[in-house]
Amino acid sequence: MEKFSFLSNKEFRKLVEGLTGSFTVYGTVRKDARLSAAGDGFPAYGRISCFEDLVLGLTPTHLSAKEFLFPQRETLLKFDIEKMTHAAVVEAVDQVIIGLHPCDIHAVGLMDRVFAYGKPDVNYLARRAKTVIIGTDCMPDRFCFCKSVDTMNVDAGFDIFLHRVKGVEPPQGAGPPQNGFLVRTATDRGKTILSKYAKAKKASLKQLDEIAAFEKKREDSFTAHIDAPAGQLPEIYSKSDESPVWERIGAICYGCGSCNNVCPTCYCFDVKDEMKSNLNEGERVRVWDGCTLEDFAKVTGGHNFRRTRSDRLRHRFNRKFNYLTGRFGALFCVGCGRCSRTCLVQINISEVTNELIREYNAKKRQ
Amino acid sequence: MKKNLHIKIHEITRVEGHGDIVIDIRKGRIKELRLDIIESPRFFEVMLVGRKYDEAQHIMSRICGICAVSHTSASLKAIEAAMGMTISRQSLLLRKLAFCGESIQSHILHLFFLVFPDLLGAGSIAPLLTAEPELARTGLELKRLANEICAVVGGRHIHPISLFPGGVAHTPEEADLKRLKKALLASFAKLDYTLGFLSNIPVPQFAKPRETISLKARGEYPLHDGKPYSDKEGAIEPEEYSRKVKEYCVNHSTAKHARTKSGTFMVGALARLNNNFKLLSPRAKAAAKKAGLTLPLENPFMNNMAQLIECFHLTDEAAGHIDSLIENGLKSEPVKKPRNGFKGGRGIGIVEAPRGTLYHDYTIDKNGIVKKADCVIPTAQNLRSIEDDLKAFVPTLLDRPREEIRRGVETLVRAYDPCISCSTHIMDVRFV
Amino acid sequence: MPENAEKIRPKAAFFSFTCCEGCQLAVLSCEDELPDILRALNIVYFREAMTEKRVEPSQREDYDIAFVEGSVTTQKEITKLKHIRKKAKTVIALGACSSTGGLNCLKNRFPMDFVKKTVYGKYAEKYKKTFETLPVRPIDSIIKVDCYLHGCPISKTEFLSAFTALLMGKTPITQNYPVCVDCKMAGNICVFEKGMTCLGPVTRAGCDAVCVTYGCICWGCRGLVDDPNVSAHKETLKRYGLTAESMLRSFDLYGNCSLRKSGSLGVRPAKK
Repeated sequence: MEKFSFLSNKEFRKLVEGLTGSFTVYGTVRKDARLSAAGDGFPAYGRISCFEDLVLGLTPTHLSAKEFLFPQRETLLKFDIEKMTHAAVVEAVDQVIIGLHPCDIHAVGLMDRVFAYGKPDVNYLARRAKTVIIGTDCMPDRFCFCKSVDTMNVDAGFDIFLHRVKGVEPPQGAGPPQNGFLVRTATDRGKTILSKYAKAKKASLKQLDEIAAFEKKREDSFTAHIDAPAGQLPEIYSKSDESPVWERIGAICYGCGSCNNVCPTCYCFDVKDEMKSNLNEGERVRVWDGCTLEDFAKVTGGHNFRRTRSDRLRHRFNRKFNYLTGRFGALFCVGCGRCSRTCLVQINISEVTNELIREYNAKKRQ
Repeated sequence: MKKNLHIKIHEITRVEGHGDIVIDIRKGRIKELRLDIIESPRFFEVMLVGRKYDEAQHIMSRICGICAVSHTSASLKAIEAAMGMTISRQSLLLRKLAFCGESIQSHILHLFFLVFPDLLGAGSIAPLLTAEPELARTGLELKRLANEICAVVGGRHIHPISLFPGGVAHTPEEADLKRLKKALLASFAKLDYTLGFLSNIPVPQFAKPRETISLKARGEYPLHDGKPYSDKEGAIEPEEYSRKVKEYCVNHSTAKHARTKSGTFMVGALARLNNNFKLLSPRAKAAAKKAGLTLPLENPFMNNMAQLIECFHLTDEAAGHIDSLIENGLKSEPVKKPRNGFKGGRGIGIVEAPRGTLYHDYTIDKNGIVKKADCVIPTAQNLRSIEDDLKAFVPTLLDRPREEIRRGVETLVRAYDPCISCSTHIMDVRFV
Repeated sequence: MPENAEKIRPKAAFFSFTCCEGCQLAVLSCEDELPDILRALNIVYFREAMTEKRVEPSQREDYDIAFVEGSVTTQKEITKLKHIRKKAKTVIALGACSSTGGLNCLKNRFPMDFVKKTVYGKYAEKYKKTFETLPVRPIDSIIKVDCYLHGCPISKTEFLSAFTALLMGKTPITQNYPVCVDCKMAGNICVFEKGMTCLGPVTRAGCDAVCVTYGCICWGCRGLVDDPNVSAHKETLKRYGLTAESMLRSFDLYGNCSLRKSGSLGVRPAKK
């Protein structure tokens, strides 16, 4: 297993400090420590300006990392109607995102395909090309179900991936065990960065055993799951348009778009022209949109193609498990559980899917 | 001298809120000279009844868009006093910083948007943007900085958000505070420029001795903290305030009026300067000297200058608070909860709002529900003094053209910087 | 926009009814844009900031845009408001007090006699006419409103976007999604996860969720979205431990808006 090498905590710090010195770095942090029940804050992404800011979490962050590649709001064009000029804007800086879990890395892969499909989206792709992705291992909470949608492991889509290890017991009296990471790289860029900022050592067999044991434990820890093979889900969803499930969840849904906004693969956006107060200069901006919001499918004249919350939820679920699979050959749900976790009325994506599976199977038996 | 004069100025402009001035002089004698407050009454004391303690500051902030931080601060102090809550040093410094921001914002708004157009014969700041671009720009820049101070601490300057019972619910970034400090130090040049402008404008000679009331504190110029003090009667216990400063109603005003034992008194920047001059920062004292101020200030028209002098002081103080906050080390802190076993009680919060002493007094029950609220508003306290001044000032103008009289009385009323929304929890000049 | 094109500059007026004038102040706080605004609009009435050209609504002159802040609480205000509607091509409700009644509606919990007596004591009876007061109403209960700028206070960004939209001949956008959208975009951790409760899931967005960003909760100042799921939100609040009383109190803070929907405030529908 040549692909793993060992990075001690000390070397890891050097890596992060090296990166913060040369890139804009984002990573996992703990937010609002004073307001969380345990007092250690909520896992979230944030700007990393020093090593201490970074907290590699085991459970998913509140929002996904998509905002660093597909920002909530970005300028696409600047224009001046008096001078009759316009200029395309491509905002992309060299950046690093640290702490993505396998589901998040799969999600970035899906977004890459979406924004390269048809007419390539220059803004996304320029940003993506300048983004170094450093992933890390994780442990499921009660909402995670990546195991059921085949996104539990990653071999590509990242530059560097970190597996936590306790490290080697040092010889007697030489201090505490040296904690660190077994690292693997999937790109040349990853290799270059790793060797530039830190010194990795050969991984020991003991360390390899340790991550194997961790992965085993992880696999056994899932409580949320989908009760049908991932490949069967498009078919199940395509037969579920008339399910009573939609009415039931539609009745309690707020239509607040939180599921869209926290989702790592929801990519819908709205484009607006905004004028400055001088009424000459303006910007064309794109902002996130969400298919569960009331006005999403409203068109000129006032007709709304998906007027009810039920219609909109059914659409969203189908986008994840059915509609896009034909075009991209993959499910658009990566099993991160963010939508279920954030939903105040407790609409749970895996439970809803299981209900549809049960109905589908029951109908088939008839 | 004219024997008869009837003027009614309907809805005096460039003041906060709706008020009319009515002047009726017959055979050289004042028959009627009133400041009618026609702002619709808002009944905040009732609105607060039955609400939870942690909504009180949110509701009371809405008394006034200009001095929202002051109302919030007085409200918080009353809540915290009633419920036995203490706040951290960081929270106190942040609240004081926001307070400085608001006072500068309010004074600059008053001077540049409301007063200077009078001095330059303009109707608003709009023509000044082209006629006096440097002056107008100075005003806009000073105002923006003051707003920004409130925004960094409180989220926004109109109805600040983070100022919450038990502390401050949001900790600003050190980088933002450092940026503000730099801008504050740079703003002294703009204040000096403004001082140069204002000191060259003649002020009507209209000195009239009167009682002045403000807070007084030891070791600091009293804004957020201090104890009420009258230059005539000495210290006033906070619990005694609403009895010593007695509110009453008149038929021509939806805002209450107020009197003390000696009758008319004045609150505001001029009163503060009279009572606390020694506590001003050296820069503010130097500015006062440059402007040729002599104490006690007895000319209400000098309230404008007093406000500008305070801006020097407030800028110094804001910069000082930022230094202390950074020295202290900014920490994210939880807001404190009311003390355990709270059995209900009464609390009083008094601050020096830009326009003067502001008093909030709440009674809260054991469940944290507000049972009774009482507020004494600076403008309400000044209304009697404004009318007294009008009665003394108008007869000195009777030989002047009507338009000049009109401008004169409006200018006098404006010098008090009345905040009518506040006082009705009200202005216009009506010549009948 | 050509300079000196006095004739094509839209005439705008700012009127203030029962409120704190904070929304007008928010307009004056657009320090960077104020020179542009004054260049683009021919402001014929703005009592708080201007003396020139005080055109009263009763006078002949009309306006292209009337910005109206504050709620309606007296008979005089009703008359003035109707005048404004007659003279103005476009009426814009500026802020919570005018768009939903705002916090002023807290007064409506009590009979008006009690309200007057509590604040003015014996004078309430003595100076009856001075202290006249009606139950608080939003302006659209009296006149037709063309565009709403919500919030207590209004958002500067929204005001500027409405200003440019109007001058470009477009309809200003009023957001019709809950504050949760703005809050997620701002990257905030949900208030409910932090052990508090709020009205964000049913309240109209457009505020950038600034109250949550600054450590508080959504108080509901912008009123309900067009199609709020109030019953679902009541269930949520119950699940998070709120009593019926405290739930009602939180819905009550801004304009009794949920009550207004069902007409139980006795508000007359607007004459269209």
